[in-house]
Amino acid sequence: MDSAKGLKWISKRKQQWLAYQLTAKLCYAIAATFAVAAVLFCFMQTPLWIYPVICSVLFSAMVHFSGIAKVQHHQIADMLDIRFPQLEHSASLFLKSSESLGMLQKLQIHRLYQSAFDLPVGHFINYRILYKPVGILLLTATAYFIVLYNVTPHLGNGQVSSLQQTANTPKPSMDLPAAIAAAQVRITPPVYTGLPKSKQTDLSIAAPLGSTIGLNLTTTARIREMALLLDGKTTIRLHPHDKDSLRWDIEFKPQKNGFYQLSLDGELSALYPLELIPDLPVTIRVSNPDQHTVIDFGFPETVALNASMQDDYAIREAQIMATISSGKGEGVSFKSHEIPLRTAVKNKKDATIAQTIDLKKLGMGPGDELYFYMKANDNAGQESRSDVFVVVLQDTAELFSMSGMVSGVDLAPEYFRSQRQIIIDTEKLLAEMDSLSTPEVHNRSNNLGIDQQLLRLRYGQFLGEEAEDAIGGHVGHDHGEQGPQSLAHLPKEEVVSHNKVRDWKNHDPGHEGHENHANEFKGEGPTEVPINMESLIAEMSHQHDRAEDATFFDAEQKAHLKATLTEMWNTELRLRTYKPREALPYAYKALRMLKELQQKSRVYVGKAPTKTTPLNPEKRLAGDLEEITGAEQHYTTLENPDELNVQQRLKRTLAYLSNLKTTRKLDEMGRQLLIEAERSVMEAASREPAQYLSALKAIRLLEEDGGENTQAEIQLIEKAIHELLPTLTQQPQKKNHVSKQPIYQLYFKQLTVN
Amino acid sequence: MTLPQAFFIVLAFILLIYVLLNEKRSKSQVPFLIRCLAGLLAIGALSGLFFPLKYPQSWHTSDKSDELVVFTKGTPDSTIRIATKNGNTATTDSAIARQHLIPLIQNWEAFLRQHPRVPIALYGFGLTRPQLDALTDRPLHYHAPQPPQGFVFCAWPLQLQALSPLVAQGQYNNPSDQEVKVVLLSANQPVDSTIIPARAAHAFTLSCLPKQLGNTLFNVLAIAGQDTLQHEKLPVFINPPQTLNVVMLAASPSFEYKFLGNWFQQLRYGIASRARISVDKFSFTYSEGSPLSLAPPLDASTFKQADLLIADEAELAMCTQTEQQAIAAAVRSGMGLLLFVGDEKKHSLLGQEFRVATTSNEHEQTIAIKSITKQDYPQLPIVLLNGIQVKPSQQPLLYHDTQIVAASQLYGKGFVTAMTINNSYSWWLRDQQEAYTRLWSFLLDNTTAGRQQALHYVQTPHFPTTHNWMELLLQHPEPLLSIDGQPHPVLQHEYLPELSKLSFWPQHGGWHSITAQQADSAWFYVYDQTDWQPARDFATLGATKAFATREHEKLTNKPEIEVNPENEIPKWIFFLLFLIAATVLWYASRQYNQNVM
Repeated sequence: MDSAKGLKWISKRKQQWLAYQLTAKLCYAIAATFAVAAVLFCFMQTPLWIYPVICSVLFSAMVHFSGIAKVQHHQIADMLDIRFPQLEHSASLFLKSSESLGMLQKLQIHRLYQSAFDLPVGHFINYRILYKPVGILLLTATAYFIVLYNVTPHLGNGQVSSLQQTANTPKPSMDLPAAIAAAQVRITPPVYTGLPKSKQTDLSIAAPLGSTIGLNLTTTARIREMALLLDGKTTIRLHPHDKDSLRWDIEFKPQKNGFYQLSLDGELSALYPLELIPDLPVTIRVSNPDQHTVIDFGFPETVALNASMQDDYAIREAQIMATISSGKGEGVSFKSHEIPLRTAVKNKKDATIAQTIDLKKLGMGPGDELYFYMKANDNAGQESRSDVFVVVLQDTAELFSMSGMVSGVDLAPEYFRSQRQIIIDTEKLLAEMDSLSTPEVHNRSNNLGIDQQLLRLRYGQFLGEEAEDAIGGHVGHDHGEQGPQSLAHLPKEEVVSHNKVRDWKNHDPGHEGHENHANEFKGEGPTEVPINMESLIAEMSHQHDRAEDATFFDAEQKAHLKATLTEMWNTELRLRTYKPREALPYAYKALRMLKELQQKSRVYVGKAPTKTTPLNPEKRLAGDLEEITGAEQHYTTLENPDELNVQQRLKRTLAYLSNLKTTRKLDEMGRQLLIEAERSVMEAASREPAQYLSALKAIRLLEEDGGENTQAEIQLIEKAIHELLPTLTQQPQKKNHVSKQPIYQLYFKQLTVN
Repeated sequence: MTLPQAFFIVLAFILLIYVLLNEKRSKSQVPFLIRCLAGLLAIGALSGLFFPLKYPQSWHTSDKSDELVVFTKGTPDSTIRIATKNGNTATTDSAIARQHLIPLIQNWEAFLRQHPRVPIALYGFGLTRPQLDALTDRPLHYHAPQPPQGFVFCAWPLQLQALSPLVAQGQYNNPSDQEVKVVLLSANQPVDSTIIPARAAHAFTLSCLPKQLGNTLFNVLAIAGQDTLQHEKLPVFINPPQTLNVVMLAASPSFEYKFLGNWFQQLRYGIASRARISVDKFSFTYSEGSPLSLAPPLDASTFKQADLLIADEAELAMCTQTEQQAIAAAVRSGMGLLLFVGDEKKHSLLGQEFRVATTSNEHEQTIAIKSITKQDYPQLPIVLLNGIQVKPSQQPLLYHDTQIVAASQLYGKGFVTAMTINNSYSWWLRDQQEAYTRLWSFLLDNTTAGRQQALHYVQTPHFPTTHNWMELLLQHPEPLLSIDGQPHPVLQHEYLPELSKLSFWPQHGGWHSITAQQADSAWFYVYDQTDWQPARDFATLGATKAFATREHEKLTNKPEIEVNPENEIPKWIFFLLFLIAATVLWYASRQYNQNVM
């Protein structure tokens, strides 16, 4: 035997081994895919094509990492040697060429030749190797189907279904009438929706509004006439497709929700719902700016507009409609602009708008107001608008005006003028900055900062914050003998004014005449913060400084005042850090907020010119009432007088049904009530078939069964009537009753004798 | 001894002599002695039939001093097992008899006669009223069990006006470790619910505004987790809504009257309104088809059909004396009067009963009103608030803090209500119509009186069941009423002629109608045997407990009296003896026995 045959033999064994191993790996990969699919199905709906991809990836990984593909012949030979002792560990000899073999090796090959081909190859590799992988595959497949059919219906899918998914979501199919062998419903949505035509065999129809519905029915036997009864009122005849009258069709375009029945030679079928999905206009949500925005002096005159739009099918166009008002009083003028959107929205379902509106480019100046809203049209031509947003460019001149403050009704405290004074001084500093030295500028800026601080502290008093004379200071307080014991050991320091602190800090030791008062500045300067730690701790535990104890303002005003204090602090910070130009916008903002706070409780109404009827001096003060006649009016008749009667009947039906559950017998009175209730439920079902159609069917079933075994139907009808009846409000009742017996009459009469 | 008894004795003696002489003269194979004895026996039996012969009780049965244990429904199994070991047990419940093989008491009175004066130890929920009555003067030891689980009590109005809230109050006993949710269902829709904590007997209140009309069955459920523990019916008869005829007299056109008129219009009440424009100038507003005229002078015919008059005190004060008298007469006859009072100097005839004090509320811009039924109303803006200083005959209706802002007084058959608030329309403007309707419904409920005579009844027991006795106490003087079309006689109450009693054994469950000749019909509901079982058991338990307590007090307070009880010998024994004796005498008198030498 030559080694070629032996090599061939080993190659064949290798192929067999590889085939089984790859099959096993494939089984493992498929099992893993099932497991992954079961887990994924619990959380999301994934497309089917992803599973082969997962399987192939897993299979490739398994093959790669297990090294099956790299198996060599000699490894097979080694495996054969291990498996078959008859090969006497000489299988590798088959892999060598005849020329390279020695005599002994040739003899060995010759000896093995006979036995090698007689070896039972099945002992080396057979189907038993697949038991485990196939078993695991079956287990995971079973688990997958269990999850698919039993667990996932109870878990929600996280995805929001689109309109198409809603339309294609399988609904419980309605039974066909016995006389109908087959039915086909063709739904042709309006062209603008972009939806494809659909076909279904279920007679429950849910289609976009404006769709054309085609109905194709095949009957089991010849029928003379077939009609469609819409909402129990409108009849539309179906046309026989051919002469044998077995196929019928019709096309119609419903205008509203409702239900329909098929009439086959006068016999009515069950009720089928007809639901029209309306095309809603574009939904516009503006997240920025706020409803009312004020741009203060010094801040950029732009408005960042962030909005999002959604539509059922597609947006056709969208714009920003802006109106600018300038001037005041009778001199106000309005200019309208249409600002196009930079983002393309046409034919999109979702669009996100991020755009900056430059107020200067729109020609706005201080005091002007911009009113804008977003307008969008969808493919159906429906227009929708967002809310109107107002942007005001603050007019600084108006801030300084005293209008509304000198009416004398409510005296404005002098604090308000201080903020204006700080602004005036800051602007003056800015104007003179170029002509002043840097230390002088810093000094003046610092002084302004201190003034701002003082003003802030004064306002802070209203919120129960630090006292006027010191920041968190305990100085100047006189508790007398009733003071807390923990503070008794503290000396009463003299009142330290901020001016003194400022003078101390700003004092220049190098100025002329310093020697005269140098002693005053030798020691430690006055501080606003007590040095003694105990006093510091005692201050923290002091009961006076509580914002909650302040009762001058309500919560909203306090919040506004706190915001004002924040702006004052921003102003102070920049003034003290020698940045007066940056401080100015904050100062203006603080002033605006102070003005708003003052005027918060006031409502200003512009004085409109009035024209009164000229007085007749002859009749005036005459007291002649002859021409004044008493008017006689009548209360207007309420609309829908029958509505009350219908409601009364529905109420009686509701009461009757509550008893029918126990009596289980429908009598004549009950039938009458049900007939009347059916009319009301039918009207409701034509408006909202999804909600009331089941109740309508239940009424008919109840009438057929006569009240027996109809608990579920009675509950459906009760629920529907309960929803139809309006929410009631309490009404006065005559409760007290007095008997006509003479003794009682006499008793009540005697009560009023005296 | 009475005359008939003496006459009988004489007759019997004469008869005895005659029989003895007759037998002595006749010849018979039957020995003379036997014939004499038979004659004597016959006359003795006749005497026994005529005279009630008695024997001491101690001869009849051995007077056992041991207690007799009687188990009724609700006895715990463990108690039965322990007590049956002692013997002398019986039960009134067939289920216990079957389960524990204990003798069932078929006839309670007969059972008691078999065990005279034997103390009874009673277990379970107890006995019915007739059974308890038979236990009078007998030592009774009652061992009450734990209250049954479930609705142990529930009460609700059996008749309701439309658009009135249905309020059901009761108590639920929950001995389990799980919370129980009690739900009120109207038309199978949950309308109210409450939670009963674990291991507690908790009161509950459920309410709703019914949408039904007529005989209606509401339901109340007790749910623990996913299990429905109990499902009971609440039958209510809901009367159709009433309409009122309202007359309004305003001293000046005001929003309060405007909004009131609009509201009455929505409720479809008959309205006639007059507002004074000037001294003798008015503006009138009437509802469609109203035949009324409010042009002065007003007289009795104006208010004949009116159920309610709403007026300003100032306007009434400006009416003439005759007009005010007519209004007072109408109120005495049952018309309600609601007055808007203030600090007027001149008072009307009816308004002078209410003293108004002006109070300043400088710091208050709004007030919060509360009713006497603890209903809160939203804040109401007010400028100046007047309070009413009530007299003992007046009932406060509305409060602000401690000030009374509305009060009511009975005047004849009608009510006069005075109110110092005249801007409740502010709630309507603030979209708080619910508070507005609540307030005015409350005020008018307390002001208007019913004119129509309706059939009122009180039923006993609280949960009547089929084939069991029930009684209706009716407020109607008619001697004959019909139930479901069948006439039933009524018994007049012993002390109150207005009330009548009607006993009834309903044959079937469900609604039953009561109709009188000149009144509306009323309805009552009869439950099935399984309905409201815990509540009925709890009522039985309570009644038995009360009876046992009363009997125990009676027995402990009773003086020791020696009594020798006796039993009467049954008459049938004497009859049998008479027959035997007569047979012997007849046999002796037969021809083949005669002529014996």
